Amino acid sequence: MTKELGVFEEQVLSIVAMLGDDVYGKSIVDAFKEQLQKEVNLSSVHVTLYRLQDKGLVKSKMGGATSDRGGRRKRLFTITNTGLSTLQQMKDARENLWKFIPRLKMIG
Amino acid sequence: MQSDQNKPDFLFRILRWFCPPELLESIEGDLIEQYEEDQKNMSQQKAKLKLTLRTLAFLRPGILFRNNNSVSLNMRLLSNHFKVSIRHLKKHWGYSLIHIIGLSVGIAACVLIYSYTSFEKGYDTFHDDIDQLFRVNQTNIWRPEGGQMSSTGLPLGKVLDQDFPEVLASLRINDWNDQTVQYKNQNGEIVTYRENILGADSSFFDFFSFPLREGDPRNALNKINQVVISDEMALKYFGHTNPLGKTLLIGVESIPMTVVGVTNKQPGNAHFNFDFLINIYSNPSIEMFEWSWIWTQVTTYVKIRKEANLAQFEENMQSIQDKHIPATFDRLGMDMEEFVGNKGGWHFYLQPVRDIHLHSQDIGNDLGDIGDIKMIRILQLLALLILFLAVVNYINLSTARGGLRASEISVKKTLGAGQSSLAMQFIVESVTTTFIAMCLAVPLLMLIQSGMEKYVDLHIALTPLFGINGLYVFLIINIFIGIVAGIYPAFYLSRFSATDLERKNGGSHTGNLRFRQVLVTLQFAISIGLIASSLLIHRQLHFLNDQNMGFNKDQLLVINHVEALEGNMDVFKNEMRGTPLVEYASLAMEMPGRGTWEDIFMREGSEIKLPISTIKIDEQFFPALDLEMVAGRTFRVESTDDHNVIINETTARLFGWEAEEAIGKRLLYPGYPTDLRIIGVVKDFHFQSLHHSIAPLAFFHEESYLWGDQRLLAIKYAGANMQVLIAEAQNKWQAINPNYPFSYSVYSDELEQLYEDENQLSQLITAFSGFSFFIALLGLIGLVSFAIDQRRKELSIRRVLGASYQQIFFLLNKQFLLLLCIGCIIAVPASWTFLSQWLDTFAYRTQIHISIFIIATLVIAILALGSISLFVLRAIKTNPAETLKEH
Repeated sequence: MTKELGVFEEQVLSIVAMLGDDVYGKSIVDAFKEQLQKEVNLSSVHVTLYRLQDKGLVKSKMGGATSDRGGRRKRLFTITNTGLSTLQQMKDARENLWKFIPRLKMIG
Repeated sequence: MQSDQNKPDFLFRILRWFCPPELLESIEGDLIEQYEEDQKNMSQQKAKLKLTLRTLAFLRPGILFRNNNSVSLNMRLLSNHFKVSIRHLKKHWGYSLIHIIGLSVGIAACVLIYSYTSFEKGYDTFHDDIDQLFRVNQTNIWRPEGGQMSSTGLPLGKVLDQDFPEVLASLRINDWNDQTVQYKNQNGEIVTYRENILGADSSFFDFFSFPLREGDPRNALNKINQVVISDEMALKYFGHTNPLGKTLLIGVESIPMTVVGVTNKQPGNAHFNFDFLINIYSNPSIEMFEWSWIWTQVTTYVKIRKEANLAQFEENMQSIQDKHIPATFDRLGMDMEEFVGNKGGWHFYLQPVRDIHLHSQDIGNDLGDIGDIKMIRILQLLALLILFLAVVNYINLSTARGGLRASEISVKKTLGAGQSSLAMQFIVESVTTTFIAMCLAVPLLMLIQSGMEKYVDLHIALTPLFGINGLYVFLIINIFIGIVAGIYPAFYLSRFSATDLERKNGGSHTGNLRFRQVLVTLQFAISIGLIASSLLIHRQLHFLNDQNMGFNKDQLLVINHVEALEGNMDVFKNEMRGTPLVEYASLAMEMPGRGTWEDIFMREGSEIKLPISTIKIDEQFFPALDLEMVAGRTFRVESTDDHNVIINETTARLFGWEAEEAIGKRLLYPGYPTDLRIIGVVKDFHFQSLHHSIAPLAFFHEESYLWGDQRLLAIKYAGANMQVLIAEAQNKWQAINPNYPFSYSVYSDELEQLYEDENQLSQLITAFSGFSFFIALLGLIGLVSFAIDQRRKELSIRRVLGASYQQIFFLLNKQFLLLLCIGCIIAVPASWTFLSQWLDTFAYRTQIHISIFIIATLVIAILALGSISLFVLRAIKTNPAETLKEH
């Protein structure tokens, strides 16, 4: 079952998949900056992560204790199988459409 | 950990307040990590600013309602909340009772005030084209200081019709007040009543939507000597027979008029109602004065085109004073410029008909009673204050006693209930409490309503509250108050963490104490303010009643409408003078305070013209009212005083005379057959209510040519037995004219009516300040008894260790005394401002004295401390051993 995702949601989900482990709010903000040259708001990232979690596309657990971050633990996110297949489907769907775009413009 | 020191701590406190706990840690961690990174790359301040913005950005629905799943209106959960609420209410029934009684008094007062004010604001809205209907007011030419009045001259209507395209139609209404109406009943007897009669142009029914039960409104008023009557009058005169076509004899001349229409029962919320409505020209005076702009005896209305520009129209109306009015002054031989000059000109104003009822305090309404927008505002303020007090009680007591519920909350949290689920529990509880209070409020508000009607003479229609709309109103109020009262306790209590289980004692939650103290202080302040206000209003009323009006008002009986006896007036007067109890009996046209007729007078040898009020009297009037002369003499039996007048000091002063100097001088009165000679100057007295300062006044002899046929007989009697005198007067009256109704009034009672509004206000404020104080007191008792409950062991130990009753007493009371003092400090300036504004509406007024605040504070201190003491006594009277044995 495909779930409708917005562009930002898809980007966040992709980054979660990309980073593999140690994915949490701040690291996603950094990834946006490095990979997509985009400044994003920490709070929107958090809200999006929770929404993805509600949809069952990511899961989360609390990380281990640390002395950094004022002693606060991280909430670590990993992509679920559903999340992965959703990403895959979206990519396929897009490529499907892509094929039908006349190429002339690109060459010109 | 170092970074903890320089991060703004309060930011995280805000975050903690709104953020669901399970998300908090990771969010805080991310924020800190980002902040630490920023600190390396930019200035401290910029980093801090970014942190602040980033933190506040979390204040968004996605975070706030994160727990939405558990808050969602799960019916099973709700019914469980409800069950728990009921159990809790039952278990602590004493405190529940305090909540419920307080809230129900608050709700009852609010609902009452709401239905009263919405009725008052709905005046005249039932007329079909109400948005196009306006009353035309004009400069008050009869008062030296000008201002606006609703009475206008006869020509205005026609001029508006002809000169102004904005006007669709005009309407004049003339109050032909207090005429005799006679009718021959089935038995052939002639029945006579006195009735108020309105004369109107034939356009009346296009303006005002009074539907006719019988007859056709289109031609009811297009001929003279036809009359439309109200349904009450139809019943009074004709019983259940059809009134159409019947004849009534109206006025002194007994003009026969045919009944051509009967209205439905007229709505109570119109700025005037009528019993008898005739074509305006049926009153013979109308044709006589149709040229005159200063015969201001009609109220003029206009219906204006929808698209008309009101401001422009009002502006254009100002041309009337140059175009039309000067002709009247030419005819009278007077100088208009001089007459209206000091009043700023002769202007016309538009007033929406829907505003007449509440916004005519200075303008007046010749056709009916008016309300007062100030009264409405005061009542609304009172309603808000009372509701506030009731809600504060709820908040205070629930949070104070929150500690008792710590274990309940902890267990629930341990079992997995989220903060919002718990908050929901408390809101359900407050809505339930409010609901019970609401059920109690209904009988209570009926009780208060009937009390108001009986003692304050304020009728409040409750009908809008019954039926389906009322149900909605109640439901909305219920949920609204429930949430307002419950929301703070809900968030406060649901934030207890599970570890509070160990700190079961409620005393540990002192962080909230400050907030409760603020609320209690406010309650004290409001109560002091209200009590002080009702004291001052009371004082001002006393001041007015005790104020020497300048004449005697006691031992006076007034027989009204003596002119009905026609030729036998003197017979009646002389018979009354011969009665043993009677000291003086004077025929006069009006009594001071009843209103007077004004006209324009000039003095000889000068151009000064004055509007002067006139009263016609005979030679016994001055001794009957104990009026004092400053110079000259009063009227005498033996001399003819047809062209003699007595003026008051104010008139003499405004004409530029000393009192002595005025004697023998002449006044000119256009239209009067002779000059008028001043024979006396009377010391100034208040012939109007004390809202007004003293205006010019002249007494004419009742046999003079001055206009006006109405007569009364003012009787000054000796002894206390007024009833005997009334019976005697009635006998004598009926011997002379048995057909005509005998009517009398007790003069001192009548004068008190002048301050009816103030009386009502005083009683209302007294009643509502009583309610509010009652609510505040309830809350206080709740708080104190709880505080004592908490400290029972402490008190017992103190007792065992030798503390005296007084010491313990002081210990428990000192905190409330302190709050009371602060409350007093807040209340004094606030109510002082309000009260001095109110006093400014009187020309004669008492002073605001600090003593009213002292009394108010003392009253509250005594009542509050008194009721506290009852609980304290109970607590310290118990044997300390008993208390300490409890585990």
